[in-house]
Formats: sequence, structure tokens, C-alpha cells
Amino acid sequence: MTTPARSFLDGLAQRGHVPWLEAEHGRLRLELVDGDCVQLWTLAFENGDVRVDHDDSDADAVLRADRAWFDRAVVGEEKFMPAVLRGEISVDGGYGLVVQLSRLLPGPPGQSGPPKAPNRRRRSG
Amino acid sequence: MNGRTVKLLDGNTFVVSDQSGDIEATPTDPTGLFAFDTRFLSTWVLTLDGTRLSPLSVDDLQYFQSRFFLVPGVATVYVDAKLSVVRQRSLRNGFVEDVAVANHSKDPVDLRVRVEAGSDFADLFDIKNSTPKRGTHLNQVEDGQLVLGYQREAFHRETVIRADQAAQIDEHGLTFQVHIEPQQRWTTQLSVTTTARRRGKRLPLVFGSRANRTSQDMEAELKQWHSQAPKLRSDWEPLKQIYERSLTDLAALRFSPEVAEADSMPAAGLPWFMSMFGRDAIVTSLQAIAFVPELTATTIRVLARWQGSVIDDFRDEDPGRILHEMRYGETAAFGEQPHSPYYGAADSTPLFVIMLDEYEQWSGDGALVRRFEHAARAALNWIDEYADLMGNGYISYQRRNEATGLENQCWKDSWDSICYRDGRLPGFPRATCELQSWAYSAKIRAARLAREFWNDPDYADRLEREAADLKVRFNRDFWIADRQYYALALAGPEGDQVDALSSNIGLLLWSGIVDEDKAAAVAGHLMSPELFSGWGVRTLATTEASYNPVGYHVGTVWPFDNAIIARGLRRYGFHKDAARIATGILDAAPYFDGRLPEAFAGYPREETRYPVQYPTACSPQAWSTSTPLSLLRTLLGLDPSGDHLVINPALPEHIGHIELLDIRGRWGHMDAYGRGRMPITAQRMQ
Repeated sequence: MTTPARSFLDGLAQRGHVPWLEAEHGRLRLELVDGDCVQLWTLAFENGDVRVDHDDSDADAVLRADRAWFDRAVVGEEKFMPAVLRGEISVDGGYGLVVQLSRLLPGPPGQSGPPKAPNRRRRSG
Repeated sequence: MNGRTVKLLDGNTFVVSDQSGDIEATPTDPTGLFAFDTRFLSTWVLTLDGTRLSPLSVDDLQYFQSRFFLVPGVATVYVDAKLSVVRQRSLRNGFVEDVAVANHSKDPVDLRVRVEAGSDFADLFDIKNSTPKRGTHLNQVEDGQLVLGYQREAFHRETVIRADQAAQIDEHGLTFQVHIEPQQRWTTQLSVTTTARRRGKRLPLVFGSRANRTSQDMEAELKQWHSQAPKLRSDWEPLKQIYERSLTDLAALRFSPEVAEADSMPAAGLPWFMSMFGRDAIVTSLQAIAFVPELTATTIRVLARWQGSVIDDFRDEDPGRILHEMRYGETAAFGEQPHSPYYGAADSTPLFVIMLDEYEQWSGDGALVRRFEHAARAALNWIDEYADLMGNGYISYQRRNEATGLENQCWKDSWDSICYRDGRLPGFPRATCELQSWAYSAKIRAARLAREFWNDPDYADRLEREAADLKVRFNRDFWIADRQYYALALAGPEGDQVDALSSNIGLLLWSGIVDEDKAAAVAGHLMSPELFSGWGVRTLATTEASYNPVGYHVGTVWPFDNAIIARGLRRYGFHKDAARIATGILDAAPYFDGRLPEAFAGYPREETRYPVQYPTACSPQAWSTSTPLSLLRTLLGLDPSGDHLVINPALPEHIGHIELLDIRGRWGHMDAYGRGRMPITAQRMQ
């Protein structure tokens, strides 16, 4: 069954090169808890590419969350840091890769964004 | 808490107690043991047979360690205590306290030693805003330890208190029945640990590997910190004290946020801002770059890792924006405050680019510039695509989070800081003048990086064209010709000039955005009695309707502001004015034991004769701590040029001879020497 989490991870694998991720290297394991079942994923960050594997190989950091939480997070309804502080999700190892993963998530739905100026000046050059 | 407080701090853990070492916090005062924006102890009182103790003296051994010498009862002129107590407190995932009770009499004594303990688990924002708690408190005695707890859903914080001597433990403290022979001592070690519970497990509430350092580790680290910094020799004695104080306070303010691993960056200030602030961390790192360059590298890395990636109105986040503030307490956890992180700053983003360039100029670390190319490009893109709210080519701000976001997203972030001469507050958006100065500098500096490191000369050309265009427009649109200074801001839908005379005009000089033919007028205003108090440049001129010598951003003098102004004055050749400002600020420091507070009052120097501290000023405050370092750099005229360090001193006479030895940088180690030749006598006190 396709869940938002699954769709997001499939999308991530196909996303291709992400330039701002070039500064990050390492492996992050996702442990998504669904009742008695734990789904394991490994995200390998390398030179701006993210490889996603459905396995439990060695990792530099581990993010453990309820799948329901992750389902909400991947549609922009949850933020990573408040959830860590609330004790809803947990991180073992460094936070660097987890924060980068959180930056790959969409923003909250229905945002107004910066007001659009009426006569927006065109950038020169 | 009445009277003087004793403060210990290490990164974002700190204890504020009275002179006896006791803590009796009220809901609205920031005393107690704090970690991650949460108070873990609000009561901590030591008694002997029910009697409180009075201080004889307090030794501040280190920033993380204090020793209290105490006697029972109320201190009088004549103290004839048969008992004395020494408490030695050291920070360590909370703190460790060694208590020694000495019996000075000829007879044995039997005593009841009691430590009363409690915690309200207030979030710093609860204290600021006096809001009640929503969770439940639960204190329990378990396995020979007292656990003070607070829980709201899965948010679960606990303070664990243990002793290494047998104690009767109840839910409000620990009691020791003690027998001490004549001339003997009884000792115990109390440990207070700040923890969080996650999935049933109790874990220390820490990030990174700097946690769990012992006092010995911290002492060794502090020694190394001082030994790596340049050595200062000066004929002017106070300068050495100020210098050492600054280095130590900067060490104390270092903290490792979640993405910093073993490295550290400066937290902003005790007690309200012991967390990550983009603007404060960047300014502090830049001001300290000639002395402790590693702070800058970490600040770049951490802020890049948290760079905005989406549109989020609650957090005022946009792609490419650099964060303003991170908080770790309950209100951030439950979304009652937006600091997770909050992005409502309009200057952090261009300042980030400035910092990247400045760091490379000092360190020669081209790899870092390449590594963060995309972060810098995203920041520059934010300036053009997200920050130009008026469509007039200037960075402006207007919060989208109307409930808890910041109205003013420049460094003067209090609600009434941006005003017209007549005191009216302008509409939104607001484009303060110094934001344009940062944007100009960011583009000029990024052009160099694009050409030399990113292999993109077209981008470099474009940035330089945009910067040149910005300078022309800025000098036309912000200049108030009949007053001969730059408007504080353009504001409102039409971008009207906000005409107050403010210290902001001084921040323009550093970037070079000021036309040469306007610089003398700007310098003249800065040094006029309306702006210059004798100690420093006021945030707002005395002639303006909103001027208030104790108004947070409308009349006080901020040391860091003055440090940037002094650098700008030197850039435009006003060496003597720069030296006057440096002299005023450095003269103020000894009144605060060498530790410049966040701000002091704007009263004229000849009126008060000493600098009056702003009532609730933070101290130590990171960018005040780094101010003397920046002033030293300015006075010695230290600037990297290619692989060399240029030294061009312009020192006041009274400072005499200065030597700054072993300045680290891409040149290896360099020594700078200077001799004071400029008479700066006006208003100086001997």
C-alpha cells in the first residue's frame, strides 16, 4: 500500500542531484514504527545525491518515528525540531543528516508567502 | 532575587543564584538552573538546623565554577561562627556541588543539613510573559535520588538529584543527619542532572560531544583557548584585563547546537538569549575573527545547515533565508512560539555571505567557500527574490506571523525602534538603511568568491553590476539632502523616508555603500553631541522625539554597534573619530569589571561620569564580549590583503604601546605593534 512516507522516499530516490546537499555526506537510517512493525530505510547522502535503500545497513545516525508522524511530516504538517523537543521522535548519532532530510520536506500547505510587490522591479543583468 | 547574583554558564546551561549559592526563583525572574531554555531548578536552599547561611565571600573560580564561603545565620559585623560551610559548584550536565561543613569548636556537633529543592520547569518565555504551565509536575523519590519531573504529552523533563552521602530524601529535598568531631569536616557531593525522557528512557538533555565534560576538561580547554589567542601587551593596564575577560566570556558563551557536533559557536547572551541567534552569532564571530577564527567556521556550517528551504508563514521562513533564533523549550516544542527555528531577520542572510568572504580572507580556507557555494547563492537569491517586498530593489521586512513574529527584523528588533523624527511609527514593509549596506557588501564580496572559487565570472559580473546599481539608488533614495544624513528607513507601501537620525547611518560606512562626498557629513553627525554621548554613539539622537536615554533601541549606547561604526570610520579615513569611539567604549568597560554589557544608558558622559547600565541588559552578551576584540583590530588597523596581514595602527595617545602577538591567519602567525600618537583627551577621566 502506498503511504505518504513511501511516496516521499520513492520521490527522493528519483529526485536526482540536489546542489545544496553537496556539503553533506553520510548515511541516515529511518526507523518508521507502525504498531509492532518497524520499517527500515537507509538514506545515503553523497555529493548532493541521495540513495534510498529499504534495508538496515550501518548508519551514522538513526531517526526513529511513528510512521503516522512521518506521513504527516512529508506533507509539511510536522516540523522536525519541535517533534524532537516534544519527545515524539528520537535521533541517535548526529543531527546533521536529519536536519538535511527535514530540509527536503515540503513546507506547510496553504502558506501566503512574502507579499508580492505590485511593481516588482526586474533584476538588472 | 534581591542583591547581587552569582552566575555560572557554559553554552546554554547556566545557574543564577544569590551570594550564598541559594536559589529562590519567582515565576518572573530568570534565576535558577537553566538548560535548553528550561528552568530545571527554581528552589535550591541549603540550611543547617533550619538556619539559612550568609556569605562571607564568593570566588568566581572559572566561568563554570564558583566557591561560596558561608556561615550560619545573618551576617553581622562581628562573626564568631563555630561552623562554616564551603559550597563549590561546577557546571556539568546541570551542576555538581561539593558541600563541606567544618566544625571549628572544641566540641563535637550534631547537625541537620538540609537541601530544599524544587523546579517549576518554566520555559524562558513563560518567565518573560508570565504564562502558566499546561503540564503536570511530579516529584518522586526513587533509588536513593530525588527526581523532579514535568510532563506534557511526550514532553518530559526531569531534574535528578543525588548525594554521595546517606540522606533522607523526600519530595522536596534531602536531609543529612551529621555528626562532626571538633576541628573536623563533613562533606558531600550533590549532583543535579538535567534530563529528558524519551520512550521511557531517561537521557541527559544535551547535544554533541561537548556534553559531559568534567571541570578538569573544561579547565584544560579554557587554557588551550587562551593559549591559541594572540597575546596582548599594552601600556594601558585596563586593556589587558578587558582583553582577558573578553576571551574568557567568549569561551563561556560557546555552545554546541544540535548540528555542530564537537564544534561550538557563540550563544547570544545571559540570561535571555542563551541560544542560537543568527545575527548575534555572525556579528560575534566576525568581531572575534582575528582572535578566535574557529568560531566563524562553525557558525557558517551551522547556519548553512539550518538555511531556510520552504515558505512557512509561522516561522517567517523563505528558501535561502538564514535563521534568526532557535529555542529548545516547551513553547517552541508545542508551537506556541515559532523558534524551531524562527527566520524573522532581514540582515542575517546578507551577513552570512559577508561572513563567508571575511573568513576566507583571514583563513585562506577555499575549500569551505566551495563547500558552501550553494548556501551563499541561495542567500543571495533570497535577497533578490524574497526580501524585496516593496518592489523597489531594497531588502525590506514585514512579518507574516502576526501573533508571535517580530515586527522589526533588523538588529533593533524592539517594537518602537524604527520611528520618524516626530516619534510616529512608520508602516510596513520597512527597509532600514543598514540592510541595504549588508546587501551591497554581500554582493561585492560574493563577486570575489564567484570569480576566485566558484569559477563563475558571469555571476561575479552580475553581482558587481547589481551592487553598483544598488549604491547609486541607495545614495539617491535614502539621502535626506536638507539634513545631510541617510534616512533610517524607507517604509510603507510607497517607501517613504523615515527621517530619524540614528546610529544606523554609522553601519553604512563599513560596507562602502556611502558616497565619498557624503562620508564627512555622516561622520560629523556620528560625532555630534546629539549622537555621541562621550561613551559611544547612541542608537537614536537626542534631538528625536522618541529619544530616551534608557530606551532599549531609542537612545542607549550599544557597544557592538559602536565597534562596527568605528571600523567604518576607519575605512573612510576618519581615524581619529574611530579612535574616539574606541576610547569611549573601552573606557566604559572597567566600570563593569572589564565586561561590557549589552547596552548602557545614553546620558551624556559629563553628566553621569560613569556609564549607567541599561536596567535589564544581558551580561555577558556575545557581541558586547567580542566588541573589545573588534576595537583592537580597528585601532591596530588589521586587515588581510592577499596572503598578507596589513597593520596600520591609529591609536589614542593614552593607550601607549600595544603589541598583539601571534595573530593567526593565512599568513601563518604575525605580530602587530602600535604606539598611541593621537591625543584623545576630551571627557576622559583619569
